[in-house]
Amino acid sequence: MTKLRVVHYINQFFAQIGGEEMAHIEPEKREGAVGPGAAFNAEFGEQAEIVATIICGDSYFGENMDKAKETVLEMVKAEKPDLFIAGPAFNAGRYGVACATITAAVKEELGIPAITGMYKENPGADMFKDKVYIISTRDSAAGMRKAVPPMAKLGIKLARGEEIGASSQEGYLPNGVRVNFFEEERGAARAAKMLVAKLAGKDFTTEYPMPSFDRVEPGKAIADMSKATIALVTSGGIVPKHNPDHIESSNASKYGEYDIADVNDLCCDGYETAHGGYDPVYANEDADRVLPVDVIRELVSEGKIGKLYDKFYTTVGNGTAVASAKKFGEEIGKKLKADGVDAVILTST
Amino acid sequence: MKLQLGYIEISNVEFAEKSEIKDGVLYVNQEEVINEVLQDEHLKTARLEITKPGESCRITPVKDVIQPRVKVEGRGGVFPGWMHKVDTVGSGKTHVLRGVNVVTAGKIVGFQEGIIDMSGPGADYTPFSQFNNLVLVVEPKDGIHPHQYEKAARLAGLKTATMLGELARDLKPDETEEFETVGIKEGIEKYPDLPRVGYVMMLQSQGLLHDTYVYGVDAKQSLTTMIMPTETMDGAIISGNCVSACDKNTTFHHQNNPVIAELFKLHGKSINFVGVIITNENVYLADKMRSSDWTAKLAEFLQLDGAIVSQEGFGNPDTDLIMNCKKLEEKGIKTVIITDEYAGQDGKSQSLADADPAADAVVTGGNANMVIKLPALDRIIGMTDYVNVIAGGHDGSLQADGSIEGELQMITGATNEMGFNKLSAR
Amino acid sequence: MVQSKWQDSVDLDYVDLDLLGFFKELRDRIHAGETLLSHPLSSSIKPGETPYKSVLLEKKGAEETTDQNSLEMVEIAIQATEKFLTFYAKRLPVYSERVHRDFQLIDLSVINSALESAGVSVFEKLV
Repeated sequence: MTKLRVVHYINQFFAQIGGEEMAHIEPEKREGAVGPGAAFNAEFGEQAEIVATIICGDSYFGENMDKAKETVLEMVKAEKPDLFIAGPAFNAGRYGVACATITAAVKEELGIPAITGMYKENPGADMFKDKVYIISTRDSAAGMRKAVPPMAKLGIKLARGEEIGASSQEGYLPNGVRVNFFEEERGAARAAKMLVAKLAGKDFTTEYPMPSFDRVEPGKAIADMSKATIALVTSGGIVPKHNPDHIESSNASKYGEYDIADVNDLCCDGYETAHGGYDPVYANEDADRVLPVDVIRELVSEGKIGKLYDKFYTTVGNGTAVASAKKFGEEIGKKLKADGVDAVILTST
Repeated sequence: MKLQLGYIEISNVEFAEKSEIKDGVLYVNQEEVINEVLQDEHLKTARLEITKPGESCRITPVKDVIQPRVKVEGRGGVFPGWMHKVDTVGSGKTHVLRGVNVVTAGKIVGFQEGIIDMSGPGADYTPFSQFNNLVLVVEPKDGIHPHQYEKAARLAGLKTATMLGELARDLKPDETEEFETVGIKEGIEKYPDLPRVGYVMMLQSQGLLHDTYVYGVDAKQSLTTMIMPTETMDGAIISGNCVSACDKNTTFHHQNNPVIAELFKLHGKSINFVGVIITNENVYLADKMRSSDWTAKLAEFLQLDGAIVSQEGFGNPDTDLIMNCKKLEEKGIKTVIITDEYAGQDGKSQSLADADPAADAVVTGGNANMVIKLPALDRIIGMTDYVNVIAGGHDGSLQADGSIEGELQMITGATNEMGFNKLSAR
Repeated sequence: MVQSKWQDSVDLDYVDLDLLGFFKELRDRIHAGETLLSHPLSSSIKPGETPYKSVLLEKKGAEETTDQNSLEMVEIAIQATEKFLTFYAKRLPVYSERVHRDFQLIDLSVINSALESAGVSVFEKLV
């Protein structure tokens, strides 16, 4: 059997070019394996070989997503590989997003089998686990030795078009596709063991995680709106013109806090949206359409609402990891509570 | 309550002049059995066929699978309420023919299903491919209502199994096992430090071909109640259901309940197995409320620390399952549920028709929508002309060459929700 | 069959729709204030397989509220039906007369069990 041709994607750090200070470097291609590629080659043995390694800085990829993707795709295509591997990225956020993005692009646009690996809480995993196989790894590079074998094994299976087993067998992050397989023990024995563990307060893994509903109890109704202070918060990406805090158009890593004490209307030139997930024309024309400052001011002047809070909070919901959104929400909530806000109108898009 | 099971290993089945068990071989006088079965005025014909593991043979449509047993000591007889008086079973001694089952087959409705393949890929999914099967095919007299036919076929199977079980009455078992459930007070004194664990068994109870019977009573007419684990081993619960055969409990499953077996294994070691609660799955919503409330109430009264809940079927029973789980968890009783999934042929759809965060410990019997191709087999016991209209089949399921393409649903016991099988999904 | 057995005893509406249409009709009625008394996903016959389905409803009371449990249940039934329709044939196979009769029979048997639970018997008019 001829050796499968593999192209490997890594960042500046794993290529030993440098850390954050070198994160701006543009994509480059080197022949053969670089950095963790050696471990992959060892694992592949006679079955496959890394023929080229593509290296790209994480910041460069993040800030020039379209261009970087196009360049990398060209580089991959030129090698005519049987398999594309990116990472593993562990818990490095930008690296993870880059790995997942490029893996999905190789799979979808070039039709080449592709696989990556990262920690389950990496934002790249959240965004792409339904689109590509992502091998579950530990949260730091200390997990490299454990990450390589399942990535190599699943990669070869994909390249050969072999049947892919269930997530628990292959080691990929559950991707919402349920796959049947035969367990070692019968169901009743597994249930009894699970119960004993649950009773003892020990860890156990459910075989079917319930669809996640992060239900929040609604707050108590406001008895008298005419005395209430209302705040506006949005995930629709409304920001002062030119997005002074550079909130990302997708997978936001931060939220903004802006003063509107003297603003009656977000209309026209002062505001725009940073959101990359919807047609921005109407929001840019009149940002009140997403964050209704004008209407609230009217209601205040009519005496129906007591007061509009002096600041608004904003972020971009597009592809933002649930964990990040949760963190933003908790921080914003604390600030609003401290300032005596009674209720929040949360607008999305 | 204490019951000893004595296993008589049956390695082979043959037709013969005289019905008897000799050196692990079950000899069956066909005529004797058929005459007995045809005593039922609703049946026109009955025939027996034998098939063994590995044979290129397909049994379909399967109605029920029953293990022959006989009560040799203690009160009552097997299948109380049907073959014997309604006398409390579950104590004394019972002999079990291990290695042979009675399988009933017959087309009660036009879209029935239930396939047992004795070899090939289908055989991996049904536990019954591993046994010698004595298949009883019964046909009704003309003009007989399907309700009457269903009952006649159900009884014919029980009758046959009872007759064969009798043959083992005076034999010496190859192996024995003992199961005992003690009273609440004694249990607490005996195992003061072990967590108290119960088993909640949900029974399908919705109408024709969707029913289960306990001591002869239709489960849908009963409130949630308790049963001793050993009573189930004497056939106190029997199956009257076979639609969507993959996740329906046959009578064999009730006789050999895997949850009860596994809990007995841990009893006195890591848990104190207190008892079994049986609850129904009626379609009337107020019944669902009442039955699940009652489950939680009984479990609390038994002072359970933990429970395993097994489901039967899918769709509306998902609602019962989640209600039972939620209400047990609300009482502080740690719960594990066993179910199966309907995640679509591509595995991408929502698996259950209900959900709750309280159900955080789930064991699954696999995705019943998985497509499987069953090759043509040399011998068919029963008939396959109905395959195009069964659950899990579709128009064109039955190919010209006799192979069948359809979903796992059509295979008897494939995704059993008592956890009888190793099949699972992630 | 359900019709001929029960039409004199309960207020019976027959609608000639496919299952998805039927559940959507149910949803409309629930929004209008009716309450489910039996589970829409009754029986083990798959959505997309059976041509017949009976469901027991309670007419709206004085208060014009929508019963959230009923609504949730019918929404789930719609989802489940859509799921089954995507991978079964979009239309039902052509069943023989006998199969039609058998489907009706199971439907009757299942709704009978609900009506028995509800304490309704033939010829006793539901108020």
